[in-house]
Amino acid sequence: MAIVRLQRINKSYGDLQVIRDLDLVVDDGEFVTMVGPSGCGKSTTLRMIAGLEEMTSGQIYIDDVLANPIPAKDRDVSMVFQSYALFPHMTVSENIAFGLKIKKYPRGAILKKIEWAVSLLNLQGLETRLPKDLSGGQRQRVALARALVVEPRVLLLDEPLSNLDATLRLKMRAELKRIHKRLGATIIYVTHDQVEAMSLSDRVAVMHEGTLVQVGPPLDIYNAPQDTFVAGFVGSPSMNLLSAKIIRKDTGFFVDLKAFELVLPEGHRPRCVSYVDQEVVFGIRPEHIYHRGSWKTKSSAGNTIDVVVDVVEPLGDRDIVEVKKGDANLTLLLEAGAEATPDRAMTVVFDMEKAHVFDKKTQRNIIH
Amino acid sequence: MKERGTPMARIRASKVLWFMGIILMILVVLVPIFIMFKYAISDRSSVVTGGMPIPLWPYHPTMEQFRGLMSMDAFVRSALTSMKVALLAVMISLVMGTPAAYALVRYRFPGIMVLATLLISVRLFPDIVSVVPIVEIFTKLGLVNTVWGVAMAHALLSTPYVIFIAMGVFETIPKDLDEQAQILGASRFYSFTRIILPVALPGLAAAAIYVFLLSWDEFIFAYFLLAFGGLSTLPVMLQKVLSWTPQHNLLAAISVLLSVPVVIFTFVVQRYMQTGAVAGAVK
Repeated sequence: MAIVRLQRINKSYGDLQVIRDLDLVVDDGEFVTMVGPSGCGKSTTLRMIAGLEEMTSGQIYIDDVLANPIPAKDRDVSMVFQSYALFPHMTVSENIAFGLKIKKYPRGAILKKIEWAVSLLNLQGLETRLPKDLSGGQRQRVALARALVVEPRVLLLDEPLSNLDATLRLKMRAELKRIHKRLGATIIYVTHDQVEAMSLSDRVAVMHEGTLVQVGPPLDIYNAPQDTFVAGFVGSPSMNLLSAKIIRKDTGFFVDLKAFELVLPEGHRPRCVSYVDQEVVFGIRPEHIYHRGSWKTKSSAGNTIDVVVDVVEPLGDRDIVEVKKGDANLTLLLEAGAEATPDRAMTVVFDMEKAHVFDKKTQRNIIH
Repeated sequence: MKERGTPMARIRASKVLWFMGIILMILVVLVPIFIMFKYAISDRSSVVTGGMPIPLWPYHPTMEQFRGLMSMDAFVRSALTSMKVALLAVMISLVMGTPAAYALVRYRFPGIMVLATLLISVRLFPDIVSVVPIVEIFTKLGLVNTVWGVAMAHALLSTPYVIFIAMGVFETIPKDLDEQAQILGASRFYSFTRIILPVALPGLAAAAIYVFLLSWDEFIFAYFLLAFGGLSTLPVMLQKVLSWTPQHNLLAAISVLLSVPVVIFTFVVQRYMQTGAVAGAVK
C-alpha cells in the first residue's frame, strides 16, 4: 500500500478548466473520499490517478515516485468502475484471475488468490457463472474482488455503489468498511453521495467546480464547514442558509433575519465584531433546531421562536418539517411525534452554539 | 360486459390480417426457392412440355442434373477454388478491417469521418472502374491467376464494409472494458485480442457472412484476374456454361449447388451471432 500525493493538478479541455490547482495527500492505508456534485471533476481526478486521463499540468506521486510518465497498465493501482466493467465472456473466476494472468502468476498461486478473494467477498458457488447471470450486488463484489486480488498499491473506487438499490447499498457500504479495516488498503473513493462519504472515510475531500474546497475528517466537515457550499452540500437534509444581518444591541450581538432575531452566543462575538451592520449568510442545520418540548440543555434565552408548520415528511423515527416565519422558510429535523401539524403554530428552539455565520461576499465561515 | 364482444372481434380480425400478411411474406421468400428446387429435380419431360403447362411437381423427379454436375471435373474444381477464395477473402478482410475499425472507434482524431468515407469510396464507383487498375497492379505483383490474387481483390471490395460493420460493433462495447483491462496490466493489443474481439465476435460473424457471400458471387474481378489461366471460380465457370443456354433444370441444379455452401457457412457462423454479448458487462 502506498502514499498518493497530488500536486497542483490542472486539467482543461480546450478553454474549459475542469480541475484547478488540486493538492491532496492520501496517506498509507487511508480511506479518502472525494465528494461533490456531478461535474465537479472528482471522477476526472480519479482517472488521472489511474493514468487513464492526461493532466494539463501538475504531478502525481505514488510512494514518492513520479507517476506522470507511467502508463495505466504499469501503475499498480486498481480501479472499480461505476459500471463494474466485468468482462462479459469470462466467468467470475476468469474475471478475478485476469490481472494475475497478465502479471504471470503461477497457476497454483492464481487458484489460491481466487479462493481468497471469493471468500473475502462471499462469492462462493458463483465461480463458474457469467456476469450476465449475476445480480447487481454480486457483480459489484466480483469487480471488487478482481481489483483487490492483484494487491494494488492504491484502490480507486468510482461511485461503486451508485448502481445498487438502497438496501444493497447500505450492505455493501458496511462490507467496504470491513474490507478496508481488514486489508488496510489505501483507498480513494469517489461519490456524489455525501452520506456515503461521511460514513465510509477517514477523511473527506469536498470538491466544487474543479477545486478542492475542504479536506478533513467527516465530523470536522460536518461541524465546521468552511463555506456555504460545503455547508449546504454535506448533511441531509441540508443546512438552512438564510440572508441576515448582524446587529449590536445593549444586550449583545443579534442575527437579524427580518422576520425574527436570534442572539449570538457569547463565544461567537469576537469573530463577529467586524461584521456588525453587514449582510451575512446565517446557517443552521435542521437537526439543530428543536421542538421546545425536547430542548433540555442549558437556557438559550431569546432563541425560542414561534413558527407556522408548512409540510411534514415523516421518516419513521424522525420527521422532516418545513416551517415558515414571515418570509423565511426553514427545514427542521424533529423527533417523531413532535406535534408538528401542518398550518398550526409551533414553538422551536435554535441551538445557537451550533449555528454558522458566513461572509456574504466570500461565502467563508466566520465562526468555525 | 356488453362491449366485450366488439373489441375481442376486432382483436381477432387484426390477428387474422397479421397472419395473412406473414404467410404472404413467407410465400414471397419460399416460392422462388421452391421453383428453383423443383426445376433442379425435374426430368426433361417436365421442362420441355411442348406447350402444356409446366407441372407443379415434376413427373419423374430425378437427381440426374446433380450427378451430372458433380461428375463434371471443371465444376468441382471451380467450386473448390471458389471456396478457397471466399474463405481467404473472409480472413484477409477481417484481419485488416477489425483493427482498423477499432482504431477508428477508440482513437478519436480530427478528420475521422473523412478517412472513413475515403475507405468506402472504392465502392462508390461501379466495380468495373477499379478492375483495370487492380488487374494492372496485380499483374505486376504476379497475383494474376492465383487464388490469393482473387481473394485479395475480394477483400479489397469487402474490407470497407467490414470496417463499417465492425465500427458499429465496437461502438456498442463500453470503453470501460478497455480501460479496466489496461488498469489490470493489459497492453492495448492484449485487451484487443482477449477482451474486445471475443465480445465483438457475434457482430463480426455478420461481417464474415457478408464477405463470404460477396466473394462467392463475385464475377467481374474473378473473371479479369483469372481470364488467361487454368483457374476459375464458380461464377467464372458458369459464364462459360451459360454461353450455350442450357436447360432450365440444369441451371436450377447449379443454383441449388451454389447456394448450399452459403447456407452451410451462414449456419456455422450464425452460432456466434447470439445477442447480448455484452450483457452483464456494465450495470
